[in-house]
Amino acid sequence: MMKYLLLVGMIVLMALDDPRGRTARWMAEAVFFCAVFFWIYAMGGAEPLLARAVWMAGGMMVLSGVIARSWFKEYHLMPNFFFASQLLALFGFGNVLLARDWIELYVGLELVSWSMLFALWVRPRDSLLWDCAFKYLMIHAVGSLLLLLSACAIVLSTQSLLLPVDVPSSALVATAVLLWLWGACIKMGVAPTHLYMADIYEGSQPPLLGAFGVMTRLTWVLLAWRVRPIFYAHAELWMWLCAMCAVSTWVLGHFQALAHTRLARLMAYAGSAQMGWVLFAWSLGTDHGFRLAIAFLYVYALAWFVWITLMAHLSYQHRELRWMEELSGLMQAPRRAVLIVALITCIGVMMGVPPFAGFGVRFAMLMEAHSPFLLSVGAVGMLTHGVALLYYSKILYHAMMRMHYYEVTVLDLRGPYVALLLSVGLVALSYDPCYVGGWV
Amino acid sequence: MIFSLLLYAFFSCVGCACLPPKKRLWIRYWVWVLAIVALYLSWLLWDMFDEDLGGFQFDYQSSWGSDWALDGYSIWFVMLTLWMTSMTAVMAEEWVPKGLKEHLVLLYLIQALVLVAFCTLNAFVFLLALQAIILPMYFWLVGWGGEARRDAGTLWLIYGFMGSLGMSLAFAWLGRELDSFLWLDWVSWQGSLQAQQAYFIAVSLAMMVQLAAVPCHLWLPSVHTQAPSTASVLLASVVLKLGGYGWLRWGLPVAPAAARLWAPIFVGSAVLALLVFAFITLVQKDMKRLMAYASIHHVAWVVLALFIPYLGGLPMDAVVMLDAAMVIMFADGLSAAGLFLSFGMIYHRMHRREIALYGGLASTMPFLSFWFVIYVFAHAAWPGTLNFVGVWMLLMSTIRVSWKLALVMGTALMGSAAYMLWMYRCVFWGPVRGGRKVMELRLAEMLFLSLLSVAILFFGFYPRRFLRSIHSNSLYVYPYLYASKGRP
Repeated sequence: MMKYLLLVGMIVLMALDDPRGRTARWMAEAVFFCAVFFWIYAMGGAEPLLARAVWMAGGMMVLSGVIARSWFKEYHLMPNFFFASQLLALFGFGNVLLARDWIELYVGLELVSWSMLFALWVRPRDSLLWDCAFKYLMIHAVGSLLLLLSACAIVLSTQSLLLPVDVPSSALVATAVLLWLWGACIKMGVAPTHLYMADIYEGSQPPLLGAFGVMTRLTWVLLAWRVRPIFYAHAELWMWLCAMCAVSTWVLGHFQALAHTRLARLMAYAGSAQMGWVLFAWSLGTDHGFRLAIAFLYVYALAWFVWITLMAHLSYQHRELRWMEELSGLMQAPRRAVLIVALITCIGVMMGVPPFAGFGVRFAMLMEAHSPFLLSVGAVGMLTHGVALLYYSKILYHAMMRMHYYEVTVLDLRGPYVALLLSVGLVALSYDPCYVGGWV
Repeated sequence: MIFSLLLYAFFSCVGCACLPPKKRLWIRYWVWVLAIVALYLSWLLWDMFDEDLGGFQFDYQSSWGSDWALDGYSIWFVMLTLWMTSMTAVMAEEWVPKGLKEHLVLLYLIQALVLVAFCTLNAFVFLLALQAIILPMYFWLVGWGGEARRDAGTLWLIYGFMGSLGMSLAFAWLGRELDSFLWLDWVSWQGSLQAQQAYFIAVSLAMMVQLAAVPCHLWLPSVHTQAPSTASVLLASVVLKLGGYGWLRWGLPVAPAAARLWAPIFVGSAVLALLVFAFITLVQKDMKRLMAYASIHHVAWVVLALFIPYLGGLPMDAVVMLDAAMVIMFADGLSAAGLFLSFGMIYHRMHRREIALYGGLASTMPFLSFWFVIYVFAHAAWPGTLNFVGVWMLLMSTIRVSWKLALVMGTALMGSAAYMLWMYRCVFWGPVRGGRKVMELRLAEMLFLSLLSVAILFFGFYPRRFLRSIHSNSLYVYPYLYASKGRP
């Protein structure tokens, strides 16, 4: 029942008056943060994995809010719709975490997806918004339909609406697995259905990207954990499908990212490529594999937030940074040590370089690979990461080694300090990487 | 003792990071303080280490379960690291006009990672340290390097990560199989020949890239040419040695049967490298590139010393060849450091790398030319130098395995002498180019050049002190490397 207070918070936010006024803005922020903290408090205490998921999702919303408030203040925009959409997303996420049957699960997933669409309307940004929103709507609809069909197949097979504990192997279940994976690939922006992500990333504002880049993916990874008995029923099929998707994601994602210097598009394709590791963890077909997928997403989420925090608080000629070359002024920006440490940490995690947490999780996945086939798939993942090195090192080169021409200004110094704190957390996560699977 | 080492490594990095960047005088004092502490630590290590006891000493188990220890091999590498880092840090103050603090933070970070790699007995920690060195080296290269630094940096990144890709997989697989990452558990592994081969090839590829052994050497000339002088010194003297050490620690003793099977191929490629690379080095026009190829040429001796014992000979020969491998690596660390340090001193005065633009430096830099000739002789393994001791031990043992092989190896020594003396003649003798003004060395430069030369000559004339600890350890590891487990 407590989670319904989020909906109340949402309604209050929508009802608040013009937030350009100071009082209204503060009220909106207060309602939002109180609702999120209350949700975390109310939802915690479940099994450790779910409790940590609550902390992760709640933490992401808080961080999105922190980024959003300075962003909206700078550009004099309405935060209400954005905050309301985030509360809706949390509500849906809570549903997914605690659902006992397929209906509750499906409703939760839909709410998470719709909340993102809702947030896109916060700031009409030329024709990009319409293009972006339309694409997202179409993709969302197809993904939801696939999940619905998959759920129907499982319900028909088990003759029960409750989430499955033990699923018998059958052609219907195999079809459900296929449909589920297809829907997941679409929603998570995984190859070969990932091409829309670049447009979404480009059309969205940084605060939205902070949550958008991760929330849907986190929801689906947790969903996979909750319904994993379905995949165990057809373990070999599941392994092959996930492995093939992982390989195609790595290859397509990394090479497409390499071709771009526009930061939003580059990070969209790079993010898709990173999801290949989630698919690889799923292909391991064990409980530990599913946990590692969640652990990977936690690490990726933190790294992503560091990136978004930096991008949201850097400006070039009174607009947000768009091109890689525009990072060139970073070494002359105020508090550059903070910016550089944060940037190196988040890029280091995404590159999977030790001693950052990204390496530890990947290594743990390789350790979990129990067959030569899976080890070879892991090898492909590591190999394609060589391509990732090229474009990530380009970002670092532009940010740190080129010292002329472009002038980057830092909008709000609190943002980079948040990024620095997060990056310290990332390094701390890598302290005991051998046990990162157990950490989840 | 190891805890003190790790603490020193940590605080040297952190302390440097906390210094104000504009206060060069504070940075200089900090560097000298660290150098004195490093000297003291290495004296303590040497004093407390029992040279007659083979195996691991200074055992330390950290709270998160990793084992740390030093043996007769790693102790010398640790001391080499401490000396070279201190020397490089002091020289950086002269050579790095901008961003000195950041430069030194990277230097001490690399030192810390190298020390971790040498001290750990945990395979995962070793892998972590080995891969973690790649990024700071990249920043060093791209931040302070030459004109083509970006390409060299990318090459370094690709070779570094791709080289260790196989090793990551192998370590993950074996760690899972044995449910442990500790060295003692891994050397007790009784894997099938196929498994050993897969593991050995994966690890060898990584170590060959790290060591810049033929045919995985293509990155070294570009990286050396574009790298700042400080990076070249540390790379040549310490970082490259991680490859040989990794082979000795994590490659050969874990999969000795596979090593025995592949030994002829490694020996063959090393002999080819010895013969061919002498000519390749001889035609180089860039001084730094020449020294890079000279390093690649020298590495072939290490590969031969590690793999010839598998071809035959008595057990005692194998032990002597293990000693020889260690001696050659350590000696190369000293002589390569001397060569690159000297080059750095020349370059920061003359600002050119082409050999043709040099000449008659002996009259404008007489002190340096005196010490440089010692490094030249050391690289060419002339009697009286530590390099000669290693090469001589190797040749004497190889004769019992195959006199033809020993003859070829001995002939290849002439190649080293040829290109080194040719370079010396072009740069230091002949008509003076670049002005007649005498460019004498500063006190710190004289001190370091002297110390390196004295070390090379001291151990060259009196190698016993050096060989005692190494020999004891070679007797200890011999059963692991050349044992009969998994014999085909």
